This record gives sequence, C-alpha cells and structure tokens, in this order.
Amino acid sequence: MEPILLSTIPRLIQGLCRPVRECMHVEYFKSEGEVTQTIQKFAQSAASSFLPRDIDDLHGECQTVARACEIAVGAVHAYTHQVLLALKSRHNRMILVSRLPDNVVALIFQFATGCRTNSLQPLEVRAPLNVSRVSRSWRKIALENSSLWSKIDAMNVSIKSVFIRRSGASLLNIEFIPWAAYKLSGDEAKEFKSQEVVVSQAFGVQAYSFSRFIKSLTPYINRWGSLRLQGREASDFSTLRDLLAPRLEALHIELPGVAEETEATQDTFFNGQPRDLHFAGVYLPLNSILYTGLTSLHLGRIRFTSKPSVHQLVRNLAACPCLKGLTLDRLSLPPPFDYIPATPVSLNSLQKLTIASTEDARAVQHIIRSVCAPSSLRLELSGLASSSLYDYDLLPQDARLGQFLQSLSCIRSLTIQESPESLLITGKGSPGNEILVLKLNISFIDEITDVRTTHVAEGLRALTHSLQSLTLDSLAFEGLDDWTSSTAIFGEMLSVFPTITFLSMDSCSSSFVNALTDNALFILCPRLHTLQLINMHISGDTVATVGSRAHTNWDHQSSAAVPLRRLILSRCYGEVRCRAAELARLVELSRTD
Amino acid sequence: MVNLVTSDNESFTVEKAVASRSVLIKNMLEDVGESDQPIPLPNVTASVLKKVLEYCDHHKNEPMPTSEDLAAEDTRKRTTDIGEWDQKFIQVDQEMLFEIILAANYLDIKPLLDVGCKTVANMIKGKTPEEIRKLFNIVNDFTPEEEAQIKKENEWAEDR
Repeated sequence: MEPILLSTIPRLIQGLCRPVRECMHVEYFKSEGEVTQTIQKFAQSAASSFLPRDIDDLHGECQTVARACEIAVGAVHAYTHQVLLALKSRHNRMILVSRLPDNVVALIFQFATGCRTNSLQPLEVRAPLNVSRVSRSWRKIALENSSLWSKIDAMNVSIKSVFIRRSGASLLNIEFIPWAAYKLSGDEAKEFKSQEVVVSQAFGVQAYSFSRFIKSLTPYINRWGSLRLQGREASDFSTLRDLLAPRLEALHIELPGVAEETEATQDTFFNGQPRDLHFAGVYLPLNSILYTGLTSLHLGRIRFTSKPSVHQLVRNLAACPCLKGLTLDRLSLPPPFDYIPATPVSLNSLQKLTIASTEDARAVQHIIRSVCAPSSLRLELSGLASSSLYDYDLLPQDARLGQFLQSLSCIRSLTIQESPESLLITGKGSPGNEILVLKLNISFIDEITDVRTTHVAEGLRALTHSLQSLTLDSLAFEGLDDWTSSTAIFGEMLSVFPTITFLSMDSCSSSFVNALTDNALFILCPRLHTLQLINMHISGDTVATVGSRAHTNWDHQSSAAVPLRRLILSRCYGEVRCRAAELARLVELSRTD
Repeated sequence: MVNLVTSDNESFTVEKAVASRSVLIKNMLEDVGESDQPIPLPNVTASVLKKVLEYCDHHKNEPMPTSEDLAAEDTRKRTTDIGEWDQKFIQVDQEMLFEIILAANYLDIKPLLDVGCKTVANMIKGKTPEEIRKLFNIVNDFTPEEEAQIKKENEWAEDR
C-alpha cells in the first residue's frame, strides 16, 4: 500500500492545484466538480492497483489507510497553517505601514492612547487594546511600551489587571470622571452617538462604586502617578483621607459649585507631595503643606473668608519657586490687599498666569504686583470689568511693570476684537507667540432700568491707558462699531501707538478708516505703510483717505510721516470694483477675495 | 542658501532657516561650517523632500522646540489636534503620508513627525482591529493560541 499511496498522494495534491487555483477565478461549484472528479480518478486508480493477499489483509489495510488519513489530515492542516502564518507575516512585513520603524509606530500608539476621547471608547476600539490585536508585530510594539497601559478609568476598570500588569513599572494615571464632564465637540458627540448606551452604562456603574474603585486600586498606591477625580460630593473623598501615595505627581479634584472656607482642618485630606495641584470647588486650607514645591497650581471656585488669604496665597507661591503654570479662577479673596512684599516673589519658571472672574479686582492687582515672572510669560486675564484695568491699574505703569510684566514689553502686535459682551485683546511677540490675552467685560445690566449697556469706549480707553507703554508694529481691530465706540476714542487709541506700520480693520465701521486721513494738521500712525481692510465698505472716502496717506508730506519736528505703500482688500463690499483702479494708481493694491 | 541632494539625484536650494528646521541638517551645517558643498539626503526622494520643504518653509519663523518642550512630552502626547494649515498639508495618500513620516524621522523634524503620527493615530482612533487591518492592508497573522489568548482579555471582567 505504502508505495501506491506514496506515489499517489503527491500526484493527487499536484492534480488538485489547478482546480484550486481556478477556485479564485470561477464560481466555486464549477471548480468543486473538478476537484471531486480529480479525487475519484486518483482514488480509483490507487484502489485498483492494490492487490491484497486475503480479505483480512484488505480489512487491515483499510484501517491503516483510515488512520493514516486522520494523521495526514492533521499534519497537512498543521503544516499548511504554519506556511500560511509565515506567508501572512511576510505579507505584513512587505506592506507600506511596516516601513515605519518601531519607535514611530510606538509614537502613533501613544497619540492614539493619549487623546482625551480614547477614555470614552468601548474596549474593542480603545487604544492600545485595539492596536495590540491587529498583528503580531503591532502587538509586540504595544506590549513593549508599558506607558501605553498606565491609564485606569471607567471604561477599562473591568480589565484593570491586564493594564496594571502590562504597564510594568510605569506610574498609573487614574481617572474618575463622569461621562457628562467630557465636554465633547460637535464632531466628537456625533462620533460617540452610536456608542452612547455602552459608554453611559460603564460610567453609570462607576458612579455607584467610587469607594470600591479607589479601594481596588489601593494595593498599587505606590504606583499612583496621577489622580483625576470629578463630579463627586466632597464627602466621597473621605476614602482618600488616610491614603499615602508617595509618587503621586498630579492631583486634580473638581467638585460642582463653590467651595466655602470651613473651620474644619482638612490638611490631612490627602497625604503625598504632588507637583501638579488642581482644585476646583474644593477647599483646602491655604496653610496646607500640599501647596509647596508645585510646578502647576489651579485654584477655582473657592470662597476664602480668612482675612490674610491673599497674603498666604502669595507666601505659598514663594514656596513654589519652580511654578510653571498658575490659574486662579473665580476665587473670592477678602481684603485687605494693602501689604505687597518689598521684593516681589520670584517665579522664574512661570510660563502661564491665568486669572479669571475674580470678584475683587484689587486681589488681582495684589497678586500681579507681588510676583515677578520671566519675559516668556503668557498672561491671561478674563471676566474682569474693563474699568478695573484703569481704576486699579491692573497692568501697572510704574516700575513694577518692568519687574513683573517683563513679557509685555515684548508685545509687537495687538488684536482688539469687539463682541456684544466683551472686548478680547490679544498681544503677540512674534506670530503664534501669544503673550497677553485679556477678556474684558464691557456689557452691564443697569440695576435700576434693567437695560443692558455696552461700554466699548470705556473699555478701549482703559486699554489705551494700560498698554500705552507698548512699542507696537501692528494693530488689528475686529468688529469695532461706531454705534458702540467713536472715532475720537479710536483716534485716541491710535495716537498712543505711533510706531505701528501695519493696521488691519476687519468688519469695522468705515468711519474709522476715514479717521486715518492726513488733514495737514494731524496724522495718526505716521509710520503706517500697510493698511489691510477685511469685510469693509469701500467708497470714495476710502480713496480720499488712501490718497492723502500715499501723498503725505506731513512733517512735524523733523519726524516725517511715511507714505502709505500697500493696501490689502479682502472680502470688501460697496464700490470695490469701480474704485480698485483708482486705489491701484495710489498704492500697491492686493486683493484676496 | 543650502543645497540639498535627494536619493534620486535632484537638487534643492533652500534658505538656511528652512533647511535648519531639520535637526539633522542643522547639525550638519554646524559641523561643516560655511560651505557650498551639497548635502546628500540618501533616504529621501525628490517628491517627498519637496513636501517636507513646503512644511519647513511655512513654519520657518516659529520657535524651534526647546528641551523643555521635549521634556513635556507627556502633555504633547495627550492631544491629536492638528493645526488648520498642517491638516491641509497632510491630506495626502497613504503612501506619501508614510514617506513624510519616514523623512521627518530621518531628518529629525519633530513637529512634522508629530503631525504625521497624529494623522495616523486619528485614522486608528475608535476602530476595531479588523477595521485597522483593512485600512492598512494588514493581515491577521496570529496563531490560534494567540487568538484565543486575545479573546480571553475581554472576558477577564473582575471586581470594579
């Protein structure tokens, strides 16, 4: 039998190759018929060529053939599987994406894992789980990068042991944030629409088991690197009170509402020495040891009532010489604000200072005047009444300006945008380098008449007062309206920035452009050589203004004005077409419609 | 001006500020000093270098990433947001996308490498393994044992 089978099987397999290949191209039933025919042909020829000595031999041979078949099928199956795997791995090595080196693929995984919405993904589509199940090489890369597995939250807490094991020695990043706290953009909300039920279910389960969630992670407390908690009640955090997380670097807690200062001492609230502290709606006494050695501090929605709160806050800042980011959001700090340290607290690493909607502008003034920061500081003030800029001298014009607000002297361009509620002022040193962001409230409701009044003019005047020491190259206005402001205020503002060479006006009243006319007695912005008008009305007055600037012979105390050289028009309306030729004769005209 | 020569022997003459967005080229220029010698880039073709230089030219006035920026890598990796211009720039076919990533990695242009990797990360985001395979023409090469192990991962629900 063996000789027959040994010679037949290879021929059988060879004979099958042709119809199998055709399987790829023709309907299966047709090639299947051919396969059956081929097998029958080979089987008949093999059986007829076997000549048994007796019936027992024939029976024994049948059993041998059947057993051999079983083994052979298994062997062929295993063999072809190995071959297939080798071919598939080879295929994966030859495709485009495999040209990326492992470190680059790992970086892609880090971006996919680190993005905010990844925490909302169901497990089958959540990185790094999804990428670790794509192919052997991707799995190897994913498993070798322990930091990919360090995040524990509502969606993956059910398989946290997988994450904890794979994260190796990396510090764990723990999050307990309710679904509603993820402020999704329009596109993100659309993306999650179909998964809403699964996601909200997972978050719902988590919401009822906060203490269990924390307790299940306490065996790994030596590996806690960050803890972000949101949307719970203050009482829930009693679970944290006696915990010691020696390597905790970031502690972020956000509770709803405003936290009131209480007499209860809660400085044992959480043991550890984080570098990044973020408390919103959470009160922690300002004398807590947690406020030392920080690199980032965010305090929000807290009502302090103790008298020396602001002084203690400044003392805390002194205990954080490496502070890089400071945010004070909707804080209520009681007076007095009289004591300002003789030597300002030096915060040489401070990159960003944000103060928002603080009740008393004097507290803002006190903090600004108590510290000094490097010239690379970005300052953001928002939710302040525009009058406070002027009344409290928030951006001081005295010697402290040079000491504290060194960065302001680096501002070269200013953009002023008017909206119904506020004036948004952005100051940049170079393109993309925002140094100052001011959002001033200009809209108020009169308590007696209940009528909303907008004080743009007052806002612009306060701004002029506060920023007059700047040496600007360019100035841009957006949405400035002569109903809410006036050309006199506009002129007043421009007159304090005589160095500007570029002026842009976007969606402003055309009367402001007319204010630029050289009237032989006075000229605004004598260095102006480029004027950009976006979405503005063009008329004969525009031509007259441009003409007066292009042919200026204004000369005052040997400081001659520069003639306007370039006009850029973008999406303008009115007499644009018929005036374009006239304007082009006066200056270099660019149109970007 | 700096003269760059690609693997397919095409020459590009660009401003030093543009070429120096590449840390590799910047270091070469510093090592060699003032010289008219062309810089060979054997790992980059002309079509890819043209694209890379378009990126470098657009960003030439921006500050180079400092060591502090690089140290804050964790924060950097927490977003897959891409600027408006960069988004339009990187709207290319998959082959060019990978070529740009490879070139950015070789030339050591970290911000461009980030843009490329973020784009691929955005393609992966929210997709099942099978969808990812289809996207990049990858085949499933796991053994049945590995498949079984992977399947088990989802079933390991424990105490929360």
